[in-house]
Amino acid sequence: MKSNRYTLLLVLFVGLFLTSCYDKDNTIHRLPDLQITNISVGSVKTGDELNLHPIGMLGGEEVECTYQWYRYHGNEPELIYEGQDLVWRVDTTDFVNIGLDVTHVETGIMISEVYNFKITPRIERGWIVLKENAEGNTDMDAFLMTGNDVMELAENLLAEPLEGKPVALLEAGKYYWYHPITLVREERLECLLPVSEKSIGWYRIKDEVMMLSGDDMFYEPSPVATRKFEASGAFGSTIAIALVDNGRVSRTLASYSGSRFMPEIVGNYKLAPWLITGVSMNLLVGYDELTSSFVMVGDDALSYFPNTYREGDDVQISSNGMDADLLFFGQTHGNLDPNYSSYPAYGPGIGYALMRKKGNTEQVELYGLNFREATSYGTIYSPIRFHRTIEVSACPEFASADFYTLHQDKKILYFVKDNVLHYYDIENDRFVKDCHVFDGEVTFLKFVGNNYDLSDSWDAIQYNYTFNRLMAATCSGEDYSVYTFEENDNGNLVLRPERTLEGRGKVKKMLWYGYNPTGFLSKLPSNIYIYN
Amino acid sequence: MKNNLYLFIALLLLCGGCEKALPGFAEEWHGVQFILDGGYNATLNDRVKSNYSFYGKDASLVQDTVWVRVRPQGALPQRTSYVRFEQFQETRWDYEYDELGHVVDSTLYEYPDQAKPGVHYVAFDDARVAGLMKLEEGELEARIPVIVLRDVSLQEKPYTLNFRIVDSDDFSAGDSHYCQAQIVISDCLVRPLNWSWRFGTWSVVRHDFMNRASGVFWDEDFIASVNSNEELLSYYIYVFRRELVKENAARAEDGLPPLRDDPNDLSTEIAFN
Repeated sequence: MKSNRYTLLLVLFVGLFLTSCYDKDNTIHRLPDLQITNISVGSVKTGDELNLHPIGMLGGEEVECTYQWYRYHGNEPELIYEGQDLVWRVDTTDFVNIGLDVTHVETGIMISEVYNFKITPRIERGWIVLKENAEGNTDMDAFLMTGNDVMELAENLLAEPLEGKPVALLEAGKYYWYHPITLVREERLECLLPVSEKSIGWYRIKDEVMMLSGDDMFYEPSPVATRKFEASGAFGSTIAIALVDNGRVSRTLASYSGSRFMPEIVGNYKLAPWLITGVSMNLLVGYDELTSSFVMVGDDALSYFPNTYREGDDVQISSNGMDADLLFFGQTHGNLDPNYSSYPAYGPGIGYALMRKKGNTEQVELYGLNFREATSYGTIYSPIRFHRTIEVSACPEFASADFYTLHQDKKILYFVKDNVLHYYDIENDRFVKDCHVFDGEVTFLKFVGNNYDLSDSWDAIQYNYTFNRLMAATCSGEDYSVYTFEENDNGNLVLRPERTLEGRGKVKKMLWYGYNPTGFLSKLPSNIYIYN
Repeated sequence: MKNNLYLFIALLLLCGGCEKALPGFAEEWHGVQFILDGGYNATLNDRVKSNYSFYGKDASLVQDTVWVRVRPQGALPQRTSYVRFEQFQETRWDYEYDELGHVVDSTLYEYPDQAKPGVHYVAFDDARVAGLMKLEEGELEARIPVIVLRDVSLQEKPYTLNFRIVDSDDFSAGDSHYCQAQIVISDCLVRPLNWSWRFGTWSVVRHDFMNRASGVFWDEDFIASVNSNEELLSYYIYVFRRELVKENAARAEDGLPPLRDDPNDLSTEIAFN
């Protein structure tokens, strides 16, 4: 019993001893984790600034920390800033990884995070404008769509404008090139190709950088002094592009979607400044002024249509030796061949050529060419399937207009003479005059049948930005205005003043650029003929 | 007890003796062999092959150097060590068989136009090269010069130098699959080893036309640079077609037929597809 008492006393003393050791003010607590708050990843536009303001939190309270920011090149971090708030301009494409090390000053506890930011092109959807600037050189503007019917102007996209007046604007969706420094082949680049009288550039859309321009675009560049680019054409979903220089044509190769132009095609010819997209993958159709003949522009040779006609056809006219000057050559959807009525209305099926027989000032000739005849798989018949002689006296403006453009679906030829808009209804053989009088000098006229800027059925994003519009640009002083006409329910053109676009310079060409989120099924290149 | 002790000592000596009897391979065997190009799978018939042509080079150039690369096998050289080459005549046995597939006769065929030392190349024991055929101490790789000579006979046809590595005072010949080399020496056009099917069948006429049309000598180095760039290759094909049309037109004016690979064979008209 006594022994138990001693035992209890011993336990008691030990307990008291331990209790005396306990100091509630000196208890070791487990520290909470250091956290970074106030950062959300997402997407940023090319060239925009990333503004990041992280907060180091410990136990729900903001604490004093040091901050180190890294930009990752693959797995290699590069220290880009030391401080809490990062302001960093995006200098790459597709995506960027930004690392952040946060260190709690008092305890030295550190946390590291890596944030992934998707980089989307600034140019996603809207109008691209090819214009002549105040110095008489070529530059581009973009009207970027920022909301329904809301356009934001991005001016003078080219860091170095192209020498000479503007000529054409194309888009290439599948181009590759060999990087001049790394020699790495970069593929499927989506680019705009602005063309001036003296130069052509290859402008990558996603980071707005001119990849290649001038003589570097050619294996055998022509002398700059005599160079005069007059027209360009694209075909086969713009896997090939052709350029007319003083009547001589050069092209890139369809087989390789290359970046540089082959030497000019040999032969005795002088092409008129129009190139039209044929139905076939590899052919453009042009007009040789030396032989007064329509020609197909192949990989490395021009070829002429045969002088053979299909039995039973009403129109049997050779497309060779036409003894005529070309006033206008354009194309539209549809099909002039009744034997192929099942051929879809969609596609560059018809070319209309307005011509004047040499020495004849009383009449002009309108020819309709069926582009099914222009194929690289063999051409059997003359392509001309429509012909009409039109008396100049019926509408003198028609034979001497400043601009022509075809409706994309209807057989209507719009034209402007002395700043007045008229049109010719081909189907009903009638002129409709004085549709609109513009203020200022008209510099551009084009009917844009945008039937491609809509989501595919397998697209996750559902959108539809299709439209039919007649676009006309004028210039007054140093400023331009682009007017939009739309068809009302009766099919008549109506000016939409609220859609008027304004900028500085003189508009030469425009195209509607629709960002393709799939990145593979580029829709604009397949429809580039609409603008050409 | 004493017996056990003796047995133990004997076992120790035996083990020591075994160790002594296994020499360190990597320390004592010095071999050398050629380095084949990357991706080259060695087989019995493989050898280092190259072409050297004086064709198109300045007339004042009377000799030049072809470098072959060698690599030591086994131990690295501990001092400056010399390699020995030896020319050999390439031969081939041609066999005749009976209806049952048995060999009934054989003929030793000796390839013609073998290079001659002192005429087409500097002999390997010549003082000008003998002192250069070496690996320095610790070297993992060395370039050995073969000096080729511009003899007038090379303008007529190419001559072939077949040679191999043989044992020297410092090195043994390495793996026999890697110890043979061949240099085709010429002062005329010869078919480049990497000739592309895109150029068509090789002929002197075609090769010469390509050189003239492009202003570039289409040797193996240039062909390699073009073959790796499809667009550039297409450009040159384009140039060949264009210039061929011009040349054939000019020949027609002179009453000559179109260019042919074999001027006497009508079916060999040159084209580039």
